[in-house]
Amino acid sequence: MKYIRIGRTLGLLAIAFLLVGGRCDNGGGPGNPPNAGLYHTYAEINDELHQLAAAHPQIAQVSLIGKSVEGRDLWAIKISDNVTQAEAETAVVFLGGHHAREWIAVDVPFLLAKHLLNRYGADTAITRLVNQAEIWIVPLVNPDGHQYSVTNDRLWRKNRRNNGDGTFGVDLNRNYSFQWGGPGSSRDTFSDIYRGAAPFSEPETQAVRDFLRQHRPRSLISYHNFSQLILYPWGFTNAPAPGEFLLQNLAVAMADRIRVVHNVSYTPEQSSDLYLASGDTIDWLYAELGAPCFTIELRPRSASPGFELPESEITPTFEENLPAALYLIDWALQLSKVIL
Amino acid sequence: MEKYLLIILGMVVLTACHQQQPPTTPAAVGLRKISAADSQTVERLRQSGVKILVQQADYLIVYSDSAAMQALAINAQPAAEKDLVQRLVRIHFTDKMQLQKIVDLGVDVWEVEADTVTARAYDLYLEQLKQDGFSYRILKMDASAPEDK
Repeated sequence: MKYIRIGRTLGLLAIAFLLVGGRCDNGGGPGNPPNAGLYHTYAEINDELHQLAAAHPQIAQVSLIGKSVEGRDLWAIKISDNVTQAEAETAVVFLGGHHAREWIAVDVPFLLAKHLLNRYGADTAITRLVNQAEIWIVPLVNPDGHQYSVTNDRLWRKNRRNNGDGTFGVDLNRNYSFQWGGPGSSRDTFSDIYRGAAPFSEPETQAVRDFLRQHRPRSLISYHNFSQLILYPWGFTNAPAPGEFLLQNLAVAMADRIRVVHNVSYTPEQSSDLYLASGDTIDWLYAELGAPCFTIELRPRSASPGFELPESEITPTFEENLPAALYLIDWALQLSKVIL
Repeated sequence: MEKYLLIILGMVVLTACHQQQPPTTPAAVGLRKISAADSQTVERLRQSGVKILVQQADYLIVYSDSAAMQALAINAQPAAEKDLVQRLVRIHFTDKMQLQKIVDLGVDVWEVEADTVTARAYDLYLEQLKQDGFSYRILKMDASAPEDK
């Protein structure tokens, strides 16, 4: 009898743990996983990143770079030969998913990782880039917001910080420290461009900061959508950034490479040409490392369909952005040779 | 043995509730929902400087401290996130300074064209834009609502 009672209690414990696990998943649960159609959810990105690394152990390694404010894992995949070694190779970083509702901005860097790994050994250009560079891809910087966008509010933008006043979320792309609190960001906690209580107040931006400081990339692309733009620093001021000529030339070169794929135009311009915005990723990185870095605003061009880009455009959006990404990796490698 | 297991079970459930439950007690300053507010109540709120974020037919969402609500003798409840409705709007501007003013207000700018922005905005921001002389057109009363088929 005693054992039956203990067994029953253990059963209750197991149920409690399952319930807790289900709730932490925020809308998921074993019987009803979040579904973003052909776009990747947080769980799918995690699973597939690990599957990719397992399938290509010589050239791919997944590492945890931090946790989100709700405790989700932030993953990076490193793609390089001798991947387990820290070689003195040029690092190039691709970030995705700062903004929750921009689903295509998660899929494009993820598909880039997949393409590099699947074409390694078969495509000589890709094999060379992977052999010579350390390519880092963080496809989903804001997993909490992304999950919330999938399960609750398709147009959610920020992370899921509980601001303590009934509002939620900090705009991660206004939370970096360089010129934090300047124009184009808000102190209103309910605003979609709320910059947070302090620079780097959010664990997601802290994780990206520490990751970039550790790997010191020679170039970087942060994917967003929409508007079809290639933006370069500065965003906080209309004044040109030091080395603007190079930034502009790289942006134009990438736009040219994008256009030839599907004849779709992306406009290269200084970030502030759109409007001033402070505390974003590329301004911070450019101020910190001086590495050419870009925000690419992916398809579509206009607010209709806006953030809700049809699934049929995932593949063409990736296809047209692939040569621009490869170009930037190659440019960073050439630069390293000149410097060395 | 069973007693200890039950204690562990209780701790697990309590910990989970503590970690996952959104706050139900209104913070000193924060979002509050006022149901069935008439025009006089709206006017009183405005005159007392309370921020009216959302003005729906059947409720208001205000950003205020509890003392202000008590002083006005207005019954307000904690607001839910789903009550925070924003409008999809097209706002006209004449130059870059005006555009920046729209952005700095805190609206969620989606698209910038030659002389208009498409944006998502709370009524609070739209009221401010109107006071500042901007013209705008509401495209959708609830920007998050699915498109009409």
